[in-house]
Amino acid sequence: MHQGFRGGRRGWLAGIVPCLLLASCNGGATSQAPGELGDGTMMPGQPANPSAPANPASPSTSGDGAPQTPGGSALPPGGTSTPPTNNPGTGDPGTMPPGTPDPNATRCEGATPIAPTPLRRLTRFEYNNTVQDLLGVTLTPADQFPPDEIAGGFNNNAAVLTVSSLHAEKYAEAAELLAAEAVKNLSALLPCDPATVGEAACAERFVQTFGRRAYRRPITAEESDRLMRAYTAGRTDGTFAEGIEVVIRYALQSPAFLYRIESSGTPAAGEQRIRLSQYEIATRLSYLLWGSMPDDALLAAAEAGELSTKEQIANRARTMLADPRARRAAAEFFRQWLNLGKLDTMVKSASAFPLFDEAVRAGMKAETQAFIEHVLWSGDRQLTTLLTAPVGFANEALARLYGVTVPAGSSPSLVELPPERSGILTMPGFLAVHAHPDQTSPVLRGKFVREKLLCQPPPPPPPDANVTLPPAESGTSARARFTAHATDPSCAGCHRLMDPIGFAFENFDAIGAYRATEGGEPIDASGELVQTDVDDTFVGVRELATLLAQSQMVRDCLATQWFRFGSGRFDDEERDACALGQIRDAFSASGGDLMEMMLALTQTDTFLHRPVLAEEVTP
Amino acid sequence: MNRRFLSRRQLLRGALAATAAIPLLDAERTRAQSAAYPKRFVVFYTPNGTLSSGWKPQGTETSFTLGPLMSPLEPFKSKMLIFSGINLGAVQNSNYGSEHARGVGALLTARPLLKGNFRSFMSTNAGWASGISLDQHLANTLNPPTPFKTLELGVQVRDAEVRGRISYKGADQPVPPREDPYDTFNQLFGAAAPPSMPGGNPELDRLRLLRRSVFDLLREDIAAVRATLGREDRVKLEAHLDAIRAIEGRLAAPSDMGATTVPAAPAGAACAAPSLGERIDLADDNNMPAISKLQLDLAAAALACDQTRIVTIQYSYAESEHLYPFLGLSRNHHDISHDWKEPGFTEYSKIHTWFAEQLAYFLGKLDGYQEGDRTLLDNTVVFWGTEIGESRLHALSDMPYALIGSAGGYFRTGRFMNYMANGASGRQHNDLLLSIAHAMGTEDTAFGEPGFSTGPLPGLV
Repeated sequence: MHQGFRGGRRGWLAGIVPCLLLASCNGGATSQAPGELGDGTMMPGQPANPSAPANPASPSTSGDGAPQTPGGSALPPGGTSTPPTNNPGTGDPGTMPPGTPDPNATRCEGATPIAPTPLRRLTRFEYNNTVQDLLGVTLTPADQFPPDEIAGGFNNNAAVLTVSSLHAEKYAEAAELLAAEAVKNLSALLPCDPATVGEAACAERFVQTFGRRAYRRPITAEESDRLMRAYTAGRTDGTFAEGIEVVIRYALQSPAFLYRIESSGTPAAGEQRIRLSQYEIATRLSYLLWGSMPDDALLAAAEAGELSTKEQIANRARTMLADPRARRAAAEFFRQWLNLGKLDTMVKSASAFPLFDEAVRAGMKAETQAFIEHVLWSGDRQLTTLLTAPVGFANEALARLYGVTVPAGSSPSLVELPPERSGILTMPGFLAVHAHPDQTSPVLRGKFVREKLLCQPPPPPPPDANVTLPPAESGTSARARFTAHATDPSCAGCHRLMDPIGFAFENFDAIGAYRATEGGEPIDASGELVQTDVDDTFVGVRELATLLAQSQMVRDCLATQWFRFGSGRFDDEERDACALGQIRDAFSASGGDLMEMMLALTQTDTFLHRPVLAEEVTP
Repeated sequence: MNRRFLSRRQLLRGALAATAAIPLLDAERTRAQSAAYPKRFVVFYTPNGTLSSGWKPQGTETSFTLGPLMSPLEPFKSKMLIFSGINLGAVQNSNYGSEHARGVGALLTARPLLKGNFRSFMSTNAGWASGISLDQHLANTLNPPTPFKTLELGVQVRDAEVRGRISYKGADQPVPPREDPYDTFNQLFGAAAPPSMPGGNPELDRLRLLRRSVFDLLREDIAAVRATLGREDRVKLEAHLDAIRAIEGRLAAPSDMGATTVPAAPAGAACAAPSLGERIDLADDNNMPAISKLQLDLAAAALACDQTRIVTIQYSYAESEHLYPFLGLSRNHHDISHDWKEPGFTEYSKIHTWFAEQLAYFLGKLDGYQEGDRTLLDNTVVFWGTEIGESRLHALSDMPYALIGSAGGYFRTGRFMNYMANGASGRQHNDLLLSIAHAMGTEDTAFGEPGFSTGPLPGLV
């Protein structure tokens, strides 16, 4: 029994349903039980005609961002196809000018319900950034924490991040280490001089100011009391500095620090959602755009009520995006989107790739950060540039792989690359993680494009598939080795969605070096895009990337990816439809400006609200 | 940070003082000779299934020869129970996750996965396992008086998704393994601390006193926050509270209380911390054998010193693409595991045999600790498991499972148990785990997914 055709989310395969309907594609092994389609994707009897609307039963803003692609015709702006409506049944037809097909107007009408965000625990990335900003230290103790789990492609998915006893142990150790480091420079930490105002009074003031920064909001009287008890514990039989040290140890292990708790406010009668507090919005902004805690200015803005209107929030977000802290946070999103987290543990066969060493690995990691910064802060911020710019950022080791020279030094240098290179899709790090240790993988590379650029995750292979990789014997190309995918009908239905994309990458080996031949034969890098809004044939990654850069589906998909990363959760098909539509529209309206896409999330009701809990509703 | 450059004071005040005051390393510290020896449970997990033709014993229940893949375990044949016909029925028809993900999720839980967004072998809908794993269940039920209720160790696991976890505190609560032997050593044996001096280390006593203050305050924090959260988030806070409970005894108990909070080492056991040597690069594939040895040495010492009675040891992750350059291989393990022909069989067998050698090394260590008439191994039950059966088929049936050690004479060992003999349809894995639970001393009537347990496996005791 194979799970793949029944699992997944609603709308999961909206764009590639015809693949699933090939009887051969399931190897004849799926015995779909009735009633198991509750969360499934495939409706028996759906038309196999690829030109038919892919999934009429499902709203167009499916979670995976695949818009309907009616007959390959050009998509309307916004990439949505909800039919124009005069809001039948709402009793308020006058809110929309007649004839204006604004799909968001229906999705976003009224106080749209808000999907819950599970309690968000700081990731290792966020923890390190936060303690550095909070304490002015350079330590990165979260490197010793257990790795954050990756779900839905990102490691900040709140649903799967829990605290095990190993976490608790590491939190305690880190807090002790950080507190000891911080009190080395006590006067910088304190808002007062204990010799002048008295120790207890100064400790009180420290608890208030530090507590507000550590908990990212003013502390309550009870919290103040507990923090002072920590001070007293350290001060008793110890010094004033030890009292402060214990306050820090404690605060850094408090749930108010380790989690992003959003539970303030009292719901109005009958309301299903509640506006986040100013401080909660400040915290959402800072972790979204900086990957860290709010700074003093942002907390002050919250205190002054200056995060009230969407315009205020947009202005604040623009200011924040200009801050250097935004660079690390943005790079983190793109790094995870590109699956580059695997760079740390990626292994390559030393015999097949003697060029690959730790310096190359370091160069691969540094390049993403530099390239993202280049596009977003020095360049035109365009998705097109991200996908097609023939430039790289290389240290010396990576330059050797590229076949160019760079000045000596550790920081990566901007290098102009030959025209076969094309933005992120030909960066050696990207190419290397989407390959096997010993050979390239047209499947993994094609699958990345389907999954992360088009938001069409391919289904798993049939249960009886021979999934052994063809051996990388000399004299045969990858294309030749993978012919079974095209000729075996049980494979072809789905692999034709991935392999013809992946073959375009074959000029780049498993560590991302260019090669014109494989096994003595010239490489055929021709490929084909099917079941997208930019279907065409092409040769090489550059032509592929140029097509993708024109795709509405790709823009919409990236907006979905950003939503998931920024929200720390998977999108909810119904309740997030409005927000997703707004981000996609803003991204498209800006002509593919990545900064505008990032900013657009802050302008959604989803970003500014939480749902009212069942427990909060008074009977 | 580089630990070698820390001052002693930093060590005491900082991270490495974590377990500093556990006064257990006195080799002389012994329990009265008459005391019973504790039972222990060890899980030895290796990825990517088996090659049944090389794994299965040939012969009858009591007269059989080991398959070639098991040959390193020949010295322990009389202490083994080897199974045929154990099925992972609880996940065979599950909707969520690939076979690898489902198999590893069920290995110790005997439950299906929840729905989620993890990727596993082209499937993208796997979540965490849906219930508690046997190791954690035993810890909860038996509540051993050891500093570590359980100890989870990993050898180059490198994966933080469902396929990289075998242990669960409960549904959606994976327990990550410790992958750094040097850190584990410090937690277990407090290498950075001065020799234990019960009541004689005021600085350490103060550190632990202040930790108690902090943990007490955290309990109040968690209770206050918990009250403001919804039901699902409360579960997270409760898990967090449990996590603090699990560590506070060994991190914060007064050091002069050590003699009462830390049980004495079993009588006669030569309990000593292993020597780790110079730190090696944990990321280097060529160091896998060295890392394996370090973790196995630590596990054996932790058991011998009664630091814990429940250990899981995990190699890599389910559907592992690990390379084995030290075995002269260049292709990745998962790839090799699906090869239907040579050289795949030979390459796969090399890795499998290496796993068996690691297990044999560990069993040898346990068997070297004399405990009265028996050995530590005899007082232990080691479960060797993997996430799929025949690797080439992604099978979730006829799992290649074996137990070694009799759990203090509970199991009748030295036998090959074929539950598919005479046309029988096999037994569910739930009942194997239930049998282990009984061997360890619980009175459970079922384990794992409801409806799959029918009682302990017949013929084992």
